Amino acid sequence: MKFTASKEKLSAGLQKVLTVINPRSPIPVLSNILVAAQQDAVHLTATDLDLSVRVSVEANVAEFGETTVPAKFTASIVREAPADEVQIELGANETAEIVSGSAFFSIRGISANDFPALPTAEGGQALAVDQKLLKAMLQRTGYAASTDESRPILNGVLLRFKEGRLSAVATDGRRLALVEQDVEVDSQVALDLVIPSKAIAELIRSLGDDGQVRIRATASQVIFDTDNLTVYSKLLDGAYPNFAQVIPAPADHRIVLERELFMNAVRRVALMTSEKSNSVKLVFQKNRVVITASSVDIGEAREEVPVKYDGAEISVAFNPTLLAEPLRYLVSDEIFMEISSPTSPGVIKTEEPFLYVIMPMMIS
Amino acid sequence: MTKESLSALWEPVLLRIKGRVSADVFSRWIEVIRPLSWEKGKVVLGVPNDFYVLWLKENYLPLLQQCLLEERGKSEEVVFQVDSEPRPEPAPLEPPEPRAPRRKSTEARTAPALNPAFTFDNFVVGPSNTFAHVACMAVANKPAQAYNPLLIYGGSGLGKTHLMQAIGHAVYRTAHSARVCYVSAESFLNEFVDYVLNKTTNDFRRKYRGMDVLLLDDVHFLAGKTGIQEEFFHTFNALTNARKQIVLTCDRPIAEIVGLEPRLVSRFGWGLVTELSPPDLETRLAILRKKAAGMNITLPPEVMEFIAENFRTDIRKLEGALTRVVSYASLCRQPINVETVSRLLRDTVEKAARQISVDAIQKAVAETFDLRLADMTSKRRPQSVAFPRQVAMYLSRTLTPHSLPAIGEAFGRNHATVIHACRAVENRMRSDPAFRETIDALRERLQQP
Repeated sequence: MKFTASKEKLSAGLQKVLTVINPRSPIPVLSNILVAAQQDAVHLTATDLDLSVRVSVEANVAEFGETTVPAKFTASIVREAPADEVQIELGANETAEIVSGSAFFSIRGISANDFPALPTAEGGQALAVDQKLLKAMLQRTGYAASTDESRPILNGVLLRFKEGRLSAVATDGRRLALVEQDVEVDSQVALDLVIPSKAIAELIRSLGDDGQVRIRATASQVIFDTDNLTVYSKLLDGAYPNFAQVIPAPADHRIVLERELFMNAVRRVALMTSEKSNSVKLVFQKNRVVITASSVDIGEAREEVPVKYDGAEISVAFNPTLLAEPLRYLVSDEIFMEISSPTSPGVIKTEEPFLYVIMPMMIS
Repeated sequence: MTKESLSALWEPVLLRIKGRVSADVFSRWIEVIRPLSWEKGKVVLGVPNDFYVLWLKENYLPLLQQCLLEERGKSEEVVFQVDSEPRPEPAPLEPPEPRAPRRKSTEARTAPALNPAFTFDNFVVGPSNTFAHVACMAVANKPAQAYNPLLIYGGSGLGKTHLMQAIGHAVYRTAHSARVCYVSAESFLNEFVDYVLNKTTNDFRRKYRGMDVLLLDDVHFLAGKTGIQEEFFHTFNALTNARKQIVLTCDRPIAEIVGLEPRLVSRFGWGLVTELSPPDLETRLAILRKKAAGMNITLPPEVMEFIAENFRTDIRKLEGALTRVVSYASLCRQPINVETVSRLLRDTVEKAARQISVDAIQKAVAETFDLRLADMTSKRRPQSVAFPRQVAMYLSRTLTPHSLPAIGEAFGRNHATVIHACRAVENRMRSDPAFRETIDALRERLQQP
């Protein structure tokens, strides 16, 4: 194997796959990246057995071949390379020689035969959706997934294809994020995929803005495929809970807020929360909301933000992180908040297809 | 605690909650809650699935506790539990019942043929059988009012007969005039045949239809026997109409019994159907302890654990193993340790837990970590070799009955190295879930026959 590639592109490719690697894996070959040189491209693959990512990088290939090289070292070497081009050649005993400008490295690898085979999705269903759309949907839901391992089914995002619509849902028991979009998929297709958070993070990081992403899925595996990126992930096992139950009936009060203004105010006020009193209180009055927080041993904060509202005064308390988090990923300037009582769930909606349910905290 | 007194306690709490949340929230999340038990400051609340447990715990627990505190004047521990059993229908209205002829109080009642050991006191409760236990207690406290009929199903040796007879004991002891009958489906059939042969079926009917509590064990035995099913159908109707308690056991879900008349199947499901599943390790240990205490015997804890580990699915076999060990100890007057016990129970230990050799462990570990088998015993000590070797030692320690020195020898090392290895691996397992998974996968692979 021998090829030359642009330092910048090779480095970007290595960074994309690097995040997959579990640095403490007991199986040595899993700390390595599979490097395969073919026609006009080099394919870089990393896996932790549950999630595998394959990136293709343009290269000038002199000799086909493949090997695996230690991920961290190789990524650092390429990043620090002195010249614009990097040449990698496989020497004897699976030793890779990396040359850039006047720098020379030789690094001991492991035979590519020891690298686990990538899963296939033969016999599974195949679909295609817009890359940018999928990325945005995952961005707006992924953060709401649970990290509590006692309920594994919630440690990911549900992608539900049904009647020509795609729903993305994530919840951790205290909030729920949902995005529903019409997609150009056969309306006969009914498919539930629960994709682990690690794969979601990889997709958000790596999906581009143009073109389609092909999705192939079997009962236990899913493959996302674009022109230069393939993400293979196992699916979370089990049925996703009935999330529709969480979405409350339309509320009595609708408040129009300016997204960034509100988000920044919540973040500022939240500075005065502590582990013990981790809530901000919102008091909605005519055309304004007063956001307050106080911790006995730290101090107090108070900020007023103009809103559009002309109902009766209503107060409600939320966890500030859960309240501000979805706002980061939205783009519209205005958001709508629906609140029916201090003990009922609050709902955040926007002009874009997005719905967020957040459970209030008890005001004592 | 009976269902009635439970709901009597729960109802006012429910009302308080209703005042605090919107009708929407109440009907979505609160109304479905069913109190399952309420004892010693601990309330167990049943909900339809795990998602309810999560959502209620995360969002409504403080509210629930607040309402409980206000209602009861003291704080109560709240535990949610998934109760997948069908919710009992509200009690049917009083039917215009043909009242069973009242018995004269002087009429002698015969003691039911019950095993004196099968009482509630002797029943070890664990997560696998809590619900069944609670249901049986409810029936024993208020026969024919809580759940009627009560159907207990579960595999062989999980305590069906025990629970059923415990109901018999409790009712016979507390209700002084109650007539209790315990009969296995097989004797029920044989008895019926006898009565038919002697042309005295009326006596048979009088006998069974005069019972206050009928405990019929192993109803699956009735499958495919239409004559007795017909007879039992009428007995069943007579008893339920007269508001008498019927308790049934079965070794599988009732719908899976082939050759049982649909009208019986539907009737069996009228009341409450409850399942017994195999006990977890803690419960098995508790059973052994209780049994050993009953025999006035103390065994070393590691011996108890060994027995509990190796007899997983059948409590009868579990207790059998204990009896065997105890009798061996008293006959041979030898100290009991894991080695003697594993030798003693060699032929009865379940297949799943077959002997795993240190060789097999070394081989599997070497494969998993991509090492040569020779590395397992070599003196080389780079981390990439040493750590898998520690893993192999740890697995040998936990999966084989060999002693520390024996394991040490198999690795060309001494017992202290093995102890150190076990600690190192256990520490790593605590701090690294991914590693733990690797170990669990290895262990599973080794235990597969």
